[in-house]
Amino acid sequence: MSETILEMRGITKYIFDSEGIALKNTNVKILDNIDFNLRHGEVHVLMGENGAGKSTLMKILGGIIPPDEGEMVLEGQKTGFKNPMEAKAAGIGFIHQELNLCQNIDVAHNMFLGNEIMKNSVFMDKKEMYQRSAELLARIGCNINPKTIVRNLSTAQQQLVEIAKAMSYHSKILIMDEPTASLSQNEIDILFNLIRDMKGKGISIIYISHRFEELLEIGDRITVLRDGKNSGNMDVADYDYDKLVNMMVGRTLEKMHSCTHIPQEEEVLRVEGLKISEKTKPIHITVKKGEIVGLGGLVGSGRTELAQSIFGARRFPSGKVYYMGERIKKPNPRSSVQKGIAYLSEDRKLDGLVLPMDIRENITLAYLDRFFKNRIISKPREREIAEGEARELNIVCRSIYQLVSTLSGGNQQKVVLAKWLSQMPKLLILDEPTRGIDINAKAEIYKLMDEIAGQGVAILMISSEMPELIGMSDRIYVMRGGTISDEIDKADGITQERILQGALN
Amino acid sequence: MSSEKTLKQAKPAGGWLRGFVKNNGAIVIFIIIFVFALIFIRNFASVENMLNIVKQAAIPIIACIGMTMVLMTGGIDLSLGYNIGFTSVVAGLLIKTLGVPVPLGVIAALAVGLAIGFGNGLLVDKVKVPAFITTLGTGYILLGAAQIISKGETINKLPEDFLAIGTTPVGDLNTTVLIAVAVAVIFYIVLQRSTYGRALAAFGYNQRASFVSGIPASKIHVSAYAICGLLSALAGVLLTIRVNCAQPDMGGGDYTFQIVTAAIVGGASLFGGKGTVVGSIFGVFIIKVIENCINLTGVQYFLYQAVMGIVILLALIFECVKNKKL
Amino acid sequence: MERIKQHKNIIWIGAAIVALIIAGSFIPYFYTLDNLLNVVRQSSVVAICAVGVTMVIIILGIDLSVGGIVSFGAMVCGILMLAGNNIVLCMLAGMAVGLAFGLFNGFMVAKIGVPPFITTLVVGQVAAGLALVLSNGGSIGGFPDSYGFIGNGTFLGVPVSNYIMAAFVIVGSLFMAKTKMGSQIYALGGNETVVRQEGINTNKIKIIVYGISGFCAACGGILLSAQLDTVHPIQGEPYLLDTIAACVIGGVSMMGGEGKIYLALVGALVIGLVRNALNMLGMHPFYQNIIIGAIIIVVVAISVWNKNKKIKESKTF
Repeated sequence: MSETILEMRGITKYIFDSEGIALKNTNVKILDNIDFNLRHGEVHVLMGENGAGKSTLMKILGGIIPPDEGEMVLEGQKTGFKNPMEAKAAGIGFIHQELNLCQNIDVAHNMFLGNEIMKNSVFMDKKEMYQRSAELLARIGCNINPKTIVRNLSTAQQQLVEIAKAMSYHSKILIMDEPTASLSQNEIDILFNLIRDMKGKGISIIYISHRFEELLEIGDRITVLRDGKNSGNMDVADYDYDKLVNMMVGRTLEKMHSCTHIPQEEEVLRVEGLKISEKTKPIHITVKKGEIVGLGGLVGSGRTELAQSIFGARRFPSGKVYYMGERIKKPNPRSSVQKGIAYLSEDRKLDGLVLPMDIRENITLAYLDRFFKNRIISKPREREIAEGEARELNIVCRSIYQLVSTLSGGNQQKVVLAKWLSQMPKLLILDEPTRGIDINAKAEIYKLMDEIAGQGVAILMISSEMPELIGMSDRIYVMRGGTISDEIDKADGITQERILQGALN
Repeated sequence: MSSEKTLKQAKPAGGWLRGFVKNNGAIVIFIIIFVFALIFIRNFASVENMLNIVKQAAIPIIACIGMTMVLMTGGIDLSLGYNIGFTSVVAGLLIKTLGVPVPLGVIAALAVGLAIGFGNGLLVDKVKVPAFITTLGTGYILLGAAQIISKGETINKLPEDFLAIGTTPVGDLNTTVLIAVAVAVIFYIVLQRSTYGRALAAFGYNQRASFVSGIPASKIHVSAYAICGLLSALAGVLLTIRVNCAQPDMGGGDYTFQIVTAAIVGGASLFGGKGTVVGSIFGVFIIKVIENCINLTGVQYFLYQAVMGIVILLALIFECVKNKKL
Repeated sequence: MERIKQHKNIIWIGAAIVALIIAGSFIPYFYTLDNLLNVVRQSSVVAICAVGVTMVIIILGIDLSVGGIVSFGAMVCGILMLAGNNIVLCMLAGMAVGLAFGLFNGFMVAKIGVPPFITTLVVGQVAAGLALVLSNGGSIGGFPDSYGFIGNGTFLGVPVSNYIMAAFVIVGSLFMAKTKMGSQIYALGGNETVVRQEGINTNKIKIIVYGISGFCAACGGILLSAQLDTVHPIQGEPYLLDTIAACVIGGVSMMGGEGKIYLALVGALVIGLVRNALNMLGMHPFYQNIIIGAIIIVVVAISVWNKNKKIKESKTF
């Protein structure tokens, strides 16, 4: 029971640039010298905030990405996987959060994909495949018809198919990434029974979860990751809530958040009864002039959807958005931009920057018709605007004619900011403004946010980083399950525990 | 960090020549082919032949600018050649058969082309049918429609004042060339100098980012197809004038293919964003010089299509290999 | 209900057939056995091409080279035959050329990363161009009688073409339904990442599928030349539109992963019937292009629209 099946030692993964080359000379690492061990037949819960490195660590174990440093020992043998197939062959099954099945074919064909049973050298033995699939499914107590097209199964059923598939190649270790995220209580019970059953058969399970009640119910041990580091282990038997939260959030709030701005009384944004989807509860929020309002919560709690709904990049079923006291009927990015709302998106490469264009072209993109009233771009004027902004935001570059794809993450983010600040907005929505950028650029962005809030800009900031959220915000809304679960005012004292509580429970 | 250090003057990477070759591939290829033809092809180096090439290139250049705009959005217009045939028949019917005044007839034909392009654009942008399927479908519809309204017959002996639009001599050239020059200048300004051109390129490179930046993405998307339709119609009218007859199988699939080839050889990218008027012009000149050489050397004319195919394949491989590297 | 939903393609094809039957009852001679067998014979080239194109569309590709390869494959075969070579060898040579062009398509798509529609458009043009070069722009004809028998002969009262078509459809259906490769082709159309993670060489599958499509097109072209006893360098051109229309009507999804070869056959027959009915009604072939072009756009638009609706419905928190 207690002997170790897997040991990961000193696993390190550096951040990489746009060409995928590891940047070893920065002090920011995705994974920093992580030790992790797993015993036979245990359920080992892996916890940590978003971006703490859980997924990366598991991807290394699953052979999806290689580590930059460190070693893995599986059943006493040093191993390393070049690809997912090797990991699978070594007995490591991976149940991804977004399920890895072909939706358009049936259960049996999915289970034997790439491993089809043949009747002769030409034809598959479909009968055998269906029978074996049914057996494999029955072994985990599931009676799905193997002829069902996967698309017609519920998420829970698809998960069971994946587990059965992992069992079919005799997995010794099963990684489950937030398996209960979209399951009902009944389905969770079935899953937990299955996990106990597998545990009984000596299979080790790495279970990634955010939910405290779950780890108590099925976990044996807990490892917590924080900022790419292993911040502690705990046996569930010695469970202590405070200690665990402490491990998750840490106690070190860096002093890089200058806050000189003072919120004013005038309301810039008021959202009334906005539902981000038919099934979620309505949301009410307000943002005042010169105020920085934080939006906390887990990834997938609906923060980005809320921001995009307000900005108009996404449609929402019902609710009212008031901006400067006036109702915006159907927000869309064009009218929002013209009214003075700016939205810095979560993924700058996806919808923030036009990567094949240069710095100058990206900076002037949002307000082209305002800069060039007669619709003809004046090159000297454009250059003047871009250089002014680049200097203002201290963008490090060879020239403003440098392609943004060749800039570092921090400078890319500054280009997006420069685009929006080239005409001072009244409402600035920031979605993860400092994701993936180095510490100096971070500090600069914080300073800038404080400055423009001081000039009366209302800021709504989505952030998954606790210190940032607490350090910068005058007020915080916490989201969970597509709606607001808590509102915390700076005056009442914002604590990590309280945010976490709102986000999790 | 001082501002001088962060913002140095632009220095073209890797020298002037390399930068030029990188950004003006079409011109470089053109020069190479042109010099090659000058040296090796007999009768190529005559003033008459040069003027001939320029005259032959004029109409394709107009169509190619339209195609380049559609390619810049990341789409393609496979109906271009059929649009030419259809508008040719429309112009011929109105002006010759129905006796509509020439200016009115021409404007009507251009309006029809614009409407066709607009329809393509709406189908691609709003209904989200893939561009190549939409335009393949509308292409065949146009072919059928052109055949029906013309009853499959050619309309020739067109009125003199209609022909005068394109055939009036201007020095050693003619008004068709002049119109092409005017179109090129206008669209050079539109694509390379105006906010519209910038927005079009941004849309082609990253639809989502340009939408989020408040650019009227749908309008831009549809307008590119509409302008392509308009320019195809202009090409159709001028082609009708050039051969002095209106017929449904003018243009067609082969013409579309020729224009796509010219646009891609001219540096427009199938993945959107990239495309210039200068590139379009030199793309057309490249294929016209090759065509001219095939004619002059007396090798079988039918080799032309196969050679064009190989030229575009090379351009595609080059483009995609470059993309993969990046 | 769930079952009906899954087979809504069949319903929609059924509706089309019922409509045709009703329309057909107004047309004299439409229902004679000879006419119907003739419709099948006339559809055979489209159906054979559709076998390959269906597979290509299933892996989220498209093959616009069908028209050119139909012409070129037949041209190679025809010219070799007129030079007095063995008929079987000539046909094999034509097929080999189609296969080679198809494999090249696959290589460009899988290895170089060129979008399928442009690669196949260009390769189709090159093939058509080479057909022009081979025949010097003219038609060739006057093939041996035994060759003509393939196209126009009958066996047990049924045209030989129909047997050939049936063979292609049956082999193609078996391949897709019963073999490992067929199963992986569907999976590839559904989710390429998953298939690659299972250690399957997706590039190889893609190249083979495009190769099959080129092979089918060449076979279709050879059959066509046997039916007409002539090869014209652009006679394949109309078959591109009809083949894609057949696939689209047969419910092969442009979004990949869905489609059955026997349904593409039904699509080919529907087009054959439409063309036949319009001909018998004395409607000029000009109108037929319009109708078929419109069918393609409408059917694809409906399927895109349905898919978008489904995606919207499935988004939850």
